[in-house]
Amino acid sequence: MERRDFLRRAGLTGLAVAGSTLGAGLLYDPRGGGQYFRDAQIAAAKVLPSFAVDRGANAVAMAIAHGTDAEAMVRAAIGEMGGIERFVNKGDAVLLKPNVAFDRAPLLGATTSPGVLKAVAVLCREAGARKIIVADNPINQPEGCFFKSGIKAAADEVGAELMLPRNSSFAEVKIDGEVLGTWTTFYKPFAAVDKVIGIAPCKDHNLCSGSMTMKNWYGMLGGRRNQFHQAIHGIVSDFPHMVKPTLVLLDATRVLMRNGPTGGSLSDVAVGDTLVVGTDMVAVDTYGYSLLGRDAANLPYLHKAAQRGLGTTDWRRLNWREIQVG
Amino acid sequence: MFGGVGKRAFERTEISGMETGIGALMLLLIAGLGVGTYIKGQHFDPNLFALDQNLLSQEAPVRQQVKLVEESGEGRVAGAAGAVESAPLRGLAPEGWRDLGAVESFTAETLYEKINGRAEQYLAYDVAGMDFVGLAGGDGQFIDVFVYDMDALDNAFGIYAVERPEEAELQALGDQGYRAESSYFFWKGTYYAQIIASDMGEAMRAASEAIARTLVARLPDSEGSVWGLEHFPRENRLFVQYFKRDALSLDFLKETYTAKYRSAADEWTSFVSLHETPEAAAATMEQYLAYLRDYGEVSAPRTVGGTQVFTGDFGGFYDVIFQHGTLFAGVNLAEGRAVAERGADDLLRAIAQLGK
Repeated sequence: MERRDFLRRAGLTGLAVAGSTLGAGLLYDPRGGGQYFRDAQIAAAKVLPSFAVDRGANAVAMAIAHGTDAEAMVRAAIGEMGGIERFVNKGDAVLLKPNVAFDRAPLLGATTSPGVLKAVAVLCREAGARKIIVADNPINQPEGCFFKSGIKAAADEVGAELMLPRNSSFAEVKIDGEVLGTWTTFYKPFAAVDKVIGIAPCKDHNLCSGSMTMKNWYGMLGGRRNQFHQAIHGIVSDFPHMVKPTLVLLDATRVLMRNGPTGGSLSDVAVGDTLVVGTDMVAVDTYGYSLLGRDAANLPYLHKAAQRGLGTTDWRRLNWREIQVG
Repeated sequence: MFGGVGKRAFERTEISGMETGIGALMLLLIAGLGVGTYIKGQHFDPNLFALDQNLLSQEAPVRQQVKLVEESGEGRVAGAAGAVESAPLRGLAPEGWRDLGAVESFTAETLYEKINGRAEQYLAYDVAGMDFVGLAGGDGQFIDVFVYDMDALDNAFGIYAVERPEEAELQALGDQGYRAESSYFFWKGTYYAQIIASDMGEAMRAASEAIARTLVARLPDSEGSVWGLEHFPRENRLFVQYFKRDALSLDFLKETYTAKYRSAADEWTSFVSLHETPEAAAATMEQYLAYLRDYGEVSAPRTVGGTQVFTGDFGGFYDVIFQHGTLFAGVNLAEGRAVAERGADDLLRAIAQLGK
């Protein structure tokens, strides 16, 4: 090889090596593979919009109704909050999210009372809602859960659309919470509506002691959500961050006092004859926990949420009402 | 052919147009791959690495369904030795009722699919699996039947007893059972069964009872007995429970039976914990003594029938503990020293009489 040729080839090789090094340096991502994909997942995740309604600082934030007639209690409690028209506009599509986690009969208190759900749907209709969707994501056989809980019959009676979870109904949703960054969530119902109303039973829970309006959103998670049970208080406190509902109702017409969240024995159920309506889930659940005969000071997820500014455990400082119906 | 350094002397003189074209194409392809990889990397598809739930269900361990005692015209074959694989939970429906869907079987790993949030309670008692069938009657009524295979007598008794309400009206059903309105619950051998009615009323109750009695006849008996039940004095005893772990909310207290007592205005809870060796029982007692010293005051030990008995004072509430062979036992949080010591002394005498 001639000297000139050698120098030419050595120069080209050097340029190629320098170019490759420069290119690799430009493309190098210091986050590493795992963090890169996590960041990418968060960036690609859907964000639930706020469904809350601005009613001013002095509006009634919580109403407690006692009685035996579910519809009358729903009407009275929401009436104390200013009426359903303050929350649902004419032409709105509304998602009602009951707790239908198990294929239990209504009287066992493990699921939302069909009577309460129906009453809320009737009020939404009266406010001019164009569409009412009822949705939840029970792990085991959703059809059976909706049927046995009586929620399907209640939805049918008021002409609400029952939206069952299908593979295509799920999307990665940004939670950005203490436990979850993003998670596969039953997203389709949220995407289809203007307003969201959570309707949760008041019941004992084997892992987090009390399942009420905050825990109700756990039912919208997909995948192997049982894996979160080790961090149950953290994840429950994440839900007010993930979902900003228009309104929540705590259905304590029957209260599952023990062996929750499934129950199964009427011996475990107490007649509560109470309904709580509110816009602050932490406040509603703090009151609701007392219906289980327990002290809210001992329920960590309430305090976690309150510390993050997602609500207040001091519900008496809110503008609240308590009424006897009938 | 070869030069002085052993390398083949080779010099290309001509490069064909086709070769040049192919080379250029390959370079373009490499460049295209690079650009494509870069673009793909900038547009992350979360579904690319998403967990395929169907794969999970296909790989989920398959559980053998409940082994039921064979029924024949010559009578039932009793005992585990006679247990055979038969259509599980089939034909339970009384007249006027029918199966609502197929029998569902769950393993310990998949139990959450049916009772999410509650499964941990059963896992704490080492549940092996659960079979379920729904039965439908008229007017939208239904009865759900759950049979939990707890794999051991203590576990079956344990989960039954911990779910049973204190005020439950006991029934002669299996080894023990109770009724709550139209629903029945019982424990038999290594199984715990729930027959849960959707509604109240005599017709529902009768149907549930018929199902419960059929199940009792079908579930195999088990040899042996629940050891903890034998140790507690019967007088003034309300109910007995078994805790596989974290008994009395103490993380070091495992495989422990507790019995609640009431006499006039006095209430107390006795407990017995079985260990493999006396040394292990003594070690647990040392842990308990350390706990008593941390949160209360421990008096000088008394000697009852040759056994040292320690009393801890939690400011008006008293614990009394002792070790007897492989057993560590005592009384927990009784109101009053006399009540606590009397309860512990009665328990110690009962244990001594059993000769363990």
